[in-house]
Amino acid sequence: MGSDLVNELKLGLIFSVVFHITLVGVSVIGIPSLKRDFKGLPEPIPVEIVQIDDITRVVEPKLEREVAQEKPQAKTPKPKPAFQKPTENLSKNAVPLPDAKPKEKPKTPPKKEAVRLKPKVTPKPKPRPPSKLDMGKIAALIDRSKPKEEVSVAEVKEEDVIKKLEDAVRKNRVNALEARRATASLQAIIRQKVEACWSVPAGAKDADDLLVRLRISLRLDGTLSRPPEFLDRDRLFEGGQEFYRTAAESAARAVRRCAPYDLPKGQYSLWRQIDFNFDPKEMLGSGE
Amino acid sequence: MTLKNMFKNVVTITFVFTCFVFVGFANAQIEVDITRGNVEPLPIAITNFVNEFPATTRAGTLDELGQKIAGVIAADLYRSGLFRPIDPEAFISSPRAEQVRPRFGNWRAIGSQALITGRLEQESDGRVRVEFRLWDVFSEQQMTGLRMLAPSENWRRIAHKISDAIYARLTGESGYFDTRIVYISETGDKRERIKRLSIMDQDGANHQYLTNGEDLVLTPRFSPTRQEITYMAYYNNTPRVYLFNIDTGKHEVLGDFPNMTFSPRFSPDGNKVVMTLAENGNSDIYIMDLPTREVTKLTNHPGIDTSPSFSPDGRYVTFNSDRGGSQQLYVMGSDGNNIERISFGAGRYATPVWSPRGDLIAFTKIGNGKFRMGVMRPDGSGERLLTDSYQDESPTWSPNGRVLMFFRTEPYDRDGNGGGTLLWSVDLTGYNERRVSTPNDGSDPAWSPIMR
Repeated sequence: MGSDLVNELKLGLIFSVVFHITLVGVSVIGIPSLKRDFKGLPEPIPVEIVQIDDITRVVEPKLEREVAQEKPQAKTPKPKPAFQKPTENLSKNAVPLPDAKPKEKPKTPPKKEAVRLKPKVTPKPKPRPPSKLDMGKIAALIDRSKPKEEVSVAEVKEEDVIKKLEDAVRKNRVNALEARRATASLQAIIRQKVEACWSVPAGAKDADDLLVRLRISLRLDGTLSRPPEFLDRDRLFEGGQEFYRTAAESAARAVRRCAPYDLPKGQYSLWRQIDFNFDPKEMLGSGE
Repeated sequence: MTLKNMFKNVVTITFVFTCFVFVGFANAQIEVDITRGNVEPLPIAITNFVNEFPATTRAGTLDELGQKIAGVIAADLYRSGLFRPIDPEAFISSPRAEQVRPRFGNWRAIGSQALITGRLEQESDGRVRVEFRLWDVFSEQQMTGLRMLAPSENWRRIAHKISDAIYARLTGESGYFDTRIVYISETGDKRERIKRLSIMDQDGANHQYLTNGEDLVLTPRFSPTRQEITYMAYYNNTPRVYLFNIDTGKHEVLGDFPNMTFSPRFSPDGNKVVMTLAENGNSDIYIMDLPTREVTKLTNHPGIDTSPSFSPDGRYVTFNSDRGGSQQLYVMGSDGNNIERISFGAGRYATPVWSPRGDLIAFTKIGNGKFRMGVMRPDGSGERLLTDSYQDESPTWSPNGRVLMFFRTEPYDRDGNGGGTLLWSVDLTGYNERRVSTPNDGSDPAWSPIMR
């Protein structure tokens, strides 16, 4: 009885300690490295190549394919020590990871726009550093935290978990790319629309310094859910800022005049809030 | 069991964390840079000013006045080139219905971005009370509003003041509609022109002659602070600089110099006049203190220095000189020191005039058989030519520094016709070039400051 209780307590303690270490470990090592990995994607440069036509062409699909191809191979060689060890000695019947992936990957490259890539734009074949994958680290952590005896039960689970995590990461990566593409496309649509609505304040002095930052919030039907919000609001009320106020008001008129914004409903999360930078510099020519 | 749970926990937490990291990215909002836009004039709806108590004033019925005031405002804004008054025929709402709170949808529907409503009533003392409101049709808010009380005969000035208020609110700089122009009205045969000093409103209304044409008058200039004009007149074949007070109608000789005097111009505080005096065939720049009539010599060079003009802060003077070989623009301190050449382009440069805004100097550029209006920054950079005609001369700035007025000489045709001179204006974009209506030929315009 007593020893049972002690055992229970011990277990609880172990659990607690392990749990916290894991938590801290994951948040310190795991997440930042995930993030780094994410950032490591070569920046797609959507803005430059966006011609204002119906379809937006974005650079990254190729890159994505590369990522997709690379990942399975890259995964296997390097993280082997950390990552594969458990799989090796633990299960032979577990689904081999590398195989599972290629089957899924080809589905992920975006269907329509991917094909329309401009041949000019060659993505830099900058291979991501052979996945020093976060997964490995997480797996390692998980591994360490796992008592050796309880192998068979946890093992399948772990397999699942890793897969789940990887799926999540992959999905997110794909989502992010899609989001970027969608963003670029939306940006182009919105820019074209709002530029037509904007009556540039004419002949202002100090055109260099008239950048107006404005935020709008939209409802699903594309109407403004509240008045446009000036991000440099204080400046509106300063003395001697008449030209700025004029520029700001012209910007607010433009975004109001353009409403409702007929944007794809499916991407509402992207355009629910839009920030604008209205800059009359090019139109006015500084000081002239 | 516990281990399993533990593992589950770890997994869940990791998963949740991962999700958080990415959710952050997925929710990044869109940022759009707008660097291009429409440079078309701003569409604006100007309704007739209405009245509740019909009355007849000395200048007509209130209905007539309300219509005329709206007309003058529309014409002012239209001529600025920055606004496009919408044809009242297109209005959906009647002006009377819009007094309390306009139905903005009706104004958006006709493409308007701003709306002006107004009303006027006669006071018991015979004056009229005029009020107006400027509305932003999109934010549905009043941008500005004013009430004025004036004799009904002054309805044009009321309208110009309203135009100024609207212009100021919508462009961020002061207007120039409640201003006047002095110029030389020219009539008669080419060889024997009758030149009369004349004054009119900026839009050509209320035209008056100030001299009778017996003496030759030249280069009128407005005082920046008072309703005063300097000009040159030949009296007994001697050119003299005169001071004319518009309010009192008094002409006064500024100085009876033994030598030739040219191109007088006021300092920004109105207390000095800078001018050219020719002595023994050499022209130099002098400055005269008006209260004391004390004269100081600013330049001392064998070249011809002429056409001086003060910077709006009074610290510098720009002028032209041929000291470098050809006629070019120079800037110096108002004490005559630190003379620097600022124009270096091909051709010659003449009659520099500093903008009241301070950021530009206007000039006449002579080259390729043409006289053209141009502007450059006070350091000589950013030179731009605004007109391209046969002969444009003598620029004068609107008080807000956005518009230049000048006179244009027509070329002679084969039959010897032509050579007439007319007043024109052009804004800083160079696109909004307009004829200024005068009853006769005109030259040497000078823009007044905003009237008080």
